[in-house]
Amino acid sequence: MRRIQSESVAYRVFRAVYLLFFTVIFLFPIYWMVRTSLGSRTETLLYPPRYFPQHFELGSYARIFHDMNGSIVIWNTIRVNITAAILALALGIPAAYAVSRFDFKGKEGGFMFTVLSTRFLPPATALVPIYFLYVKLGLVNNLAGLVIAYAGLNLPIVIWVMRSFIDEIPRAMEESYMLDGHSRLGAFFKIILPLSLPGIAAMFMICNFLTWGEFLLSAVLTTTYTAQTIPIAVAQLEGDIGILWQQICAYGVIATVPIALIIVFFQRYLVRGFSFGILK
Amino acid sequence: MMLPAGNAAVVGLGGVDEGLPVAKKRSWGFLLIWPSFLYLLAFLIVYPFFYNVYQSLFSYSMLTGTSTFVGFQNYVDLFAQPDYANSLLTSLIILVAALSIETLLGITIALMLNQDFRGKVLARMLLILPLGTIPVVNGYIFSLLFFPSASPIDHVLNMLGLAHGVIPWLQDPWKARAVVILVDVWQWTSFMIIMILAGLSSVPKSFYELARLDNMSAWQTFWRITLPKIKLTLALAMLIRAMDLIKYFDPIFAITKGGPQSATETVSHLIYRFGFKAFAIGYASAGSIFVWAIIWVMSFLVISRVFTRKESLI
Repeated sequence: MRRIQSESVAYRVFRAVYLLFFTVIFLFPIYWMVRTSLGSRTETLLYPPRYFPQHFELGSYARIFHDMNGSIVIWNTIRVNITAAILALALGIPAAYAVSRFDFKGKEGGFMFTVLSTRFLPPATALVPIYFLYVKLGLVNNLAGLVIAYAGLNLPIVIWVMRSFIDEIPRAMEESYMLDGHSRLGAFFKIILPLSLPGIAAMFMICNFLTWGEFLLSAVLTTTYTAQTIPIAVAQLEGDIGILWQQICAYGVIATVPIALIIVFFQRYLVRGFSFGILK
Repeated sequence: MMLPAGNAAVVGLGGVDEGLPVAKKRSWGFLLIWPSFLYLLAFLIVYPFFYNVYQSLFSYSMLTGTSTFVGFQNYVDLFAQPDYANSLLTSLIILVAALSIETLLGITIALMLNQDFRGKVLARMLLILPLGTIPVVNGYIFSLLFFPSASPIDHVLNMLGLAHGVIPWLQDPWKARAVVILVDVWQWTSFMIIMILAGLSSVPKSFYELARLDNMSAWQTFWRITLPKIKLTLALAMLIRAMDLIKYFDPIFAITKGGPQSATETVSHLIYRFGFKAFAIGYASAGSIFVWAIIWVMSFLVISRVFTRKESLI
């Protein structure tokens, strides 16, 4: 690769040091999480700290699964996030299609803007109303309740991002299909859906990424492990007798792996999701 | 706030649109927006809004389980006692500090990652990893990193001679704020990096060649060529980050619980505490309504501007 000639040696050294410094800073807490999850209990809070634990053990992982219903909590997390993503896609894709292909009054300023603004309202401000609604509907400590809430969090982003994906599909493709005597509904299922499949897959990933670590809603809307997700199970490890650091870190490692894979392999799509489909 | 009619936007995006006549497009299509619109409106806007308005006018008693109409007394009380104003101020301090550090680091790191050097792909991958962590878990990890008398951060600072003995990170108000800001900066600088990198990829390499032929310094190149090209991407990224910082909650719940002496109590934490710890539903609702008002005003003043200029972002 050709370097830009104006880069002096001093600058190159500075850049290497700067990036190395931040790489170390960015990786250290992740390393500390892995270290704590694998180290022995006595080594967790030693001073001076043990940067490399002398005793490795998998006890904290074993305890999560044996004593703390870890497999149920992890399975809850996976189910809730995947179902919420599917629900948001099922509701959002038809809306995105309508916005992309039809004109109606108040489309941009009314509909799209209102949709967007829901993304910006702090969940804490809707917490009390949603909690009392859930009490009435029997949705507290119910996985379906979390799914409904998370789908609501995802929906604005699904509509904006899927609209940008569908905008990229030439209209001529559905029109020629419709000129063959097929209905618009048929065109939607035979042309639009298959062609936007990569976009839908990306969106599915983005949705899972966005709700995977959600804490505040699940903290209020769930009460026992039968409906709890990983973030809230983590917070419950802080009890009256102290904080179970190793188990918290073990949960952290387990929860971080799938999401780290998403950000490494789907980075471009994440940008698209973060920017509501505006940045490609 | 209104965008040019749909077709213009589509042309701007893909340049592929020579569709059916508008009249035909009207047909039934717009009905498709209603399921999701109702879902969002009913569930996240209309119902919570009116519920909050209603509850903010009542005082709820835990003992009797009854509500008494108190008019605007909750609003008056809310602003008469220091807690609420303090939480707004704390949120603002955290927002301004975290956002400026994230922006500064994001721009410098992204600019460097946009240049050619050995190990660039690896550096890119490692520097975005914090984005994949769970905020509440991060809270606990940073509690460990700043744990009184067992803090590796203290240890490193002591070894470098920058500090002596135990630093009261979580007992001192400003140090606790710094820790809380640091958690956010640590996780979300990665967000700024990938957003700005996406913006930088839209600047043609030939622009930099021209700048070099013109003998522009790196500083001039940044201000005259790079920044104007990534300005809207940057505005969008900062806006999204600002909105998320107003919601800031999870790491605070894990590390400080709002303390010491409510030095790190953000507005989200306060509403949560009022609503679910103190059961002061009226205060929580009044506080929520006021935050909504702030967000809506900001939406109309800022968000619509950034979002309606999206054609020029691409």
